[in-house]
Amino acid sequence: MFMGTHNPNLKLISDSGQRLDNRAFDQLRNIRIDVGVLESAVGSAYVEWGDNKVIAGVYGPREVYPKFLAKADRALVRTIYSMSTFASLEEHGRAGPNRRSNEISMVLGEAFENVVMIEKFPAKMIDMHITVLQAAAGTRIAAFLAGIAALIDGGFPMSDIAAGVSVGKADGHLVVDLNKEEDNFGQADLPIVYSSSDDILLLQMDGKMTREEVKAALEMADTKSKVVMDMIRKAVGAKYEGAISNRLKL
Amino acid sequence: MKEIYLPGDKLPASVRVSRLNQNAIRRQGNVLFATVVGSVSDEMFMPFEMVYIPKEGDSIVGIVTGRRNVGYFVDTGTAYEGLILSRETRIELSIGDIVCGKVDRIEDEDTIIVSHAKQLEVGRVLELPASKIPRIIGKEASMISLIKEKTGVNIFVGANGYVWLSSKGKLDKAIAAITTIVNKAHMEGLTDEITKFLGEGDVHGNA
Repeated sequence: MFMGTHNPNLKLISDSGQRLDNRAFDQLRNIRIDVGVLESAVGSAYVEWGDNKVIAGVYGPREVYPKFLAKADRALVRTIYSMSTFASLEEHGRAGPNRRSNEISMVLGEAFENVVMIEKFPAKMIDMHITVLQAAAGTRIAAFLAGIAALIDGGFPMSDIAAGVSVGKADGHLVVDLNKEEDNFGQADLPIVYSSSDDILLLQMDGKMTREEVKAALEMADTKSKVVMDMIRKAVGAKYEGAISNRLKL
Repeated sequence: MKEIYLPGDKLPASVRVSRLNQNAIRRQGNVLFATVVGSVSDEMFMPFEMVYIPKEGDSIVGIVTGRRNVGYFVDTGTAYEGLILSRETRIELSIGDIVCGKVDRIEDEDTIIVSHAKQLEVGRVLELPASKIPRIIGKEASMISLIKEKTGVNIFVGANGYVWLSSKGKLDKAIAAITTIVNKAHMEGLTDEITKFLGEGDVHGNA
């Protein structure tokens, strides 16, 4: 557990090219996805990504409150990203709505609105509640994953699936899926979400990268996003274990 | 294991779009894509999960919640409230009555105007996921007919996920059969399993 000020001698990448958690530069942390975990939600998912633990519940389509916010030709996807009171000991682990969680809610919400077929639900609202139970860097990416899995679980028509990773720079090296130390003390952090039709749905950056590094980061994220999308496929499939292997007899 | 399609997956060219699954499929040029999770069988794409989007002609079941001059309001268990217009029908209803009817049209994006409204006698109403309803009905209504015949229970299936059962007949058996279908809708051998389950006992309703 991190205790205090930055040790200037802290090496994020050792002389022999090892990350602090011994991962390769392009290696993801362990990811686990479970869908259909909340009885009361239309769709739900629980995600563990490294030490991140996130739960998402999707509700609706339902009436828009307050009514004046309703859009005549499409649904609103209202996303509420929040951190539980025990999510983290660090500053951005403060619970309750704050600027950071409001911004993440907005950014995730717009990404979800770009995959859900919102024109099928005019004047309705789809509520996405995503709560971080434990934070360990890359929470918005893990939150997005939980949200997407919950939407699929709930049967909301979508044009694509999507997933993302963060790519960052630590001690001058581009690394995928930053851990906590790399996030706190690295030189850049670039969370990206790709859709299954190769569009970018979310793109943010802290820090400083060269143009070549950004291009390389986008490529690395593209490759790894596809890996995460495969995990979504397996997790959703696991819910239907015992699914038909030949003709369905109706 | 049969292939499971996720939203955005390209569907085989042989798949046909039908009235029941039109929201589960997206057409882009000549290519069809799934919009929800499901599988393909017999050239049909069967969604495993799907939120209910009312379509004209759908049969629905609801519960009367109120009455105004304009008509009776009906709870359908969805974001779309049902309305039986006074000017279109002479039916007399009370709050709490169970009704069946057809989706005539959608008004103001959130009200289902219900036509052919009929009161259903006192019985049980099950609230089920709308995506499982096609499986409960079965191909050419074969599944639901089987359940009705073997249990002697009268059943009205609403596309909105509300299913009404009369209180006469082997009600518990009918509910058990329907519950099994909901839980195993995606599995093979379901028709055989239900047939066997219902076949235990004679057709006169003796166990």
